[in-house]
Amino acid sequence: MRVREILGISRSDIEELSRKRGEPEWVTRRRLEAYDALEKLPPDPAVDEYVRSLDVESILAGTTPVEVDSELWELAVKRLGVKPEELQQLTGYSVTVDNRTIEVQLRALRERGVILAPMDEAVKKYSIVKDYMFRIMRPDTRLAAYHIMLWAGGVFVYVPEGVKLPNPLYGVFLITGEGLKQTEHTLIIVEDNASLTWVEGCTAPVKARYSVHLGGLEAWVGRRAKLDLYSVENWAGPVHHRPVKRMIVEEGGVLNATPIAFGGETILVEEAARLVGRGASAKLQSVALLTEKRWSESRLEVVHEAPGGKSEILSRVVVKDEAFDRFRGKLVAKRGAKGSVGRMSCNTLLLSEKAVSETIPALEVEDNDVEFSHEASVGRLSTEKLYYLRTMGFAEDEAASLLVQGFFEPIFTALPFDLAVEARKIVELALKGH
Amino acid sequence: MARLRVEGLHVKVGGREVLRGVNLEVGEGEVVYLLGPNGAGKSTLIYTVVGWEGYVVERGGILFDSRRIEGLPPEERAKLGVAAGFQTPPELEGVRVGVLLRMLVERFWGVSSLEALKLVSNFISMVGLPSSVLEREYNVGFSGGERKKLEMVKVLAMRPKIALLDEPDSGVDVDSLRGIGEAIRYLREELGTGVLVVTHLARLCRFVKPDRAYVMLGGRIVKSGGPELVKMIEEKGYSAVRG
Repeated sequence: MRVREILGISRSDIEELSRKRGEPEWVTRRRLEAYDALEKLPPDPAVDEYVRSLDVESILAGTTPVEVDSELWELAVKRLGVKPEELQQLTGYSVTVDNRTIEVQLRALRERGVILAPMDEAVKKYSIVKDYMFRIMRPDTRLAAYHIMLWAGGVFVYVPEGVKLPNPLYGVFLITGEGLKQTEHTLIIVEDNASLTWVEGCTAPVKARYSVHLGGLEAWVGRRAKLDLYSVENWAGPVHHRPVKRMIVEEGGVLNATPIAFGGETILVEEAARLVGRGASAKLQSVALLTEKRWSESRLEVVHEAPGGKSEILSRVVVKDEAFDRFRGKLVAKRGAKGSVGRMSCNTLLLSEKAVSETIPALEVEDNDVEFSHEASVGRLSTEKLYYLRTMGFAEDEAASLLVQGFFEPIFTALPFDLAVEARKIVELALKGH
Repeated sequence: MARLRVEGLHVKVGGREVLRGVNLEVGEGEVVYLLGPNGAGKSTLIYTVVGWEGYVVERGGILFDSRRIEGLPPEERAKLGVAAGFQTPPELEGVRVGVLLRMLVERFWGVSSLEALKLVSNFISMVGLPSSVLEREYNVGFSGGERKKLEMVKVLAMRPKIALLDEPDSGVDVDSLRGIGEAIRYLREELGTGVLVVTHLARLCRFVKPDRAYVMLGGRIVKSGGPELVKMIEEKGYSAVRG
């Protein structure tokens, strides 16, 4: 399907966008590569239908600074699980409002060579960006291609060799106002032997009438480096969440990526990791509590390209009311990825008769010496357990809430503390029907 | 006056009549044994009194402090003061023992979080469980004996007026039995709880002397009496009371 038919824009509109933003030539070229890819890629209704309603004119017009009401800001931060007064104690944080990063703070980290900079500036300022940006993420799916073509804003995060950051870095993304769209891009580079925990939260402080979030993230995990990535989505109102992520893990590197979805109207998460170095490992873990008529699809993929890699693709989802969940997991072992071990496991809990869950696993093996496995379980809350809790004085909804919290607990205990507290609260409220 | 009074109770489970006119009473601070062979209906009585799904009262009633409770949902009965220690309680994955017990103590004892924690650890050590149990998931991977002890702690945490204990003494070693006996004594003496203990054997007698006893056979109480009844059953078996 042609870009012009969907968005009503041409190649020269993209060139114009890039020129207006004062981007280096290589950025323009990569945007155009994405445009060209879209002309050839097969249609994807879960993406195209929503992208069609993007307010492209405002994206092409460039960005304007957005004033954020301090009340909204505090609410957004609170929703992420950080108390406003604690913000100053965070090691570093950045805030994206719509397509403009309004504030970036760095403390002692700067002295250690850590960079946390607005992406718009980073493409002009840091030469290293060119070697990674849209080199980890290629326009190989329609979602990735749209994102690359239209990205604006976001953050560049760089952790130099050997620097291990003990505390998480927070990226707080907000959508304000009605009809505003987001296409922010995050690039994370964790050099050899370094480590980083990155927490990004997407919270809509006001009930948006209609928004599309087309954010993207690419990350490079160096040799024996470690990256923990948590993405929390708790949009209020009819927000269509379409994040796309691509990660590369080098020799002995460790990647943990956990997308957590609570809100929004439709959610399509696309995450893919490539294990390019010997003994690299990746764990992609999708977590969601889907209520009302939410629709969600998670496309998670790990590609083993080197020997001795280890991967896990996990899904832990609770589907309530008339919500729908689809899981598409894919494990790939390329020729030469000897001794690779991969596991896919889906746990789904259905809380109503009308809740629907689909699991579509795929295993592709080009080498003999590979051990891949898949398991899935779909269950409902046990009547016995509910009654057992009720005989302790818990009302039915309290009992259900305790069991659902228990279902998520293996994930929540591993979250950064504040986030875990907030996640538990969100689950509790959602089960009470709020 | 009896705290718990079961009057002419007929109960069907899965369409089959299991209790056929049970009459029984438990008073404040009393320990009452309910004896009987397998299939007599002892566990059915407990499930019916707490209000478990599928236990249908056909006739008769359950009175708690003279109030009929057979129509109440289980959580309401618990709030009034009815607690049960089950034989095979389920595993609650992801629910931490410490968290759940603290919630119960806060609610039923009306104390602060901190006080609740203290009480929970007292109860845990009373039955002889290690404090590390608080960090574990509820019943997950617990041995039979550990489950029995945890059920006792749960009952203590609910500060009940009536406790119904389904074979708290089976499948536990002598040391554990001592802890369970200790908990029953605490219920009776410190809390004034009326305790109905379902048991096959009189092993528990060494630790907790019953005030009274009932023998159940075929869904009916066929005999009631004092501690001597327990002794008689132990010596002669149920044939002594079979009509």
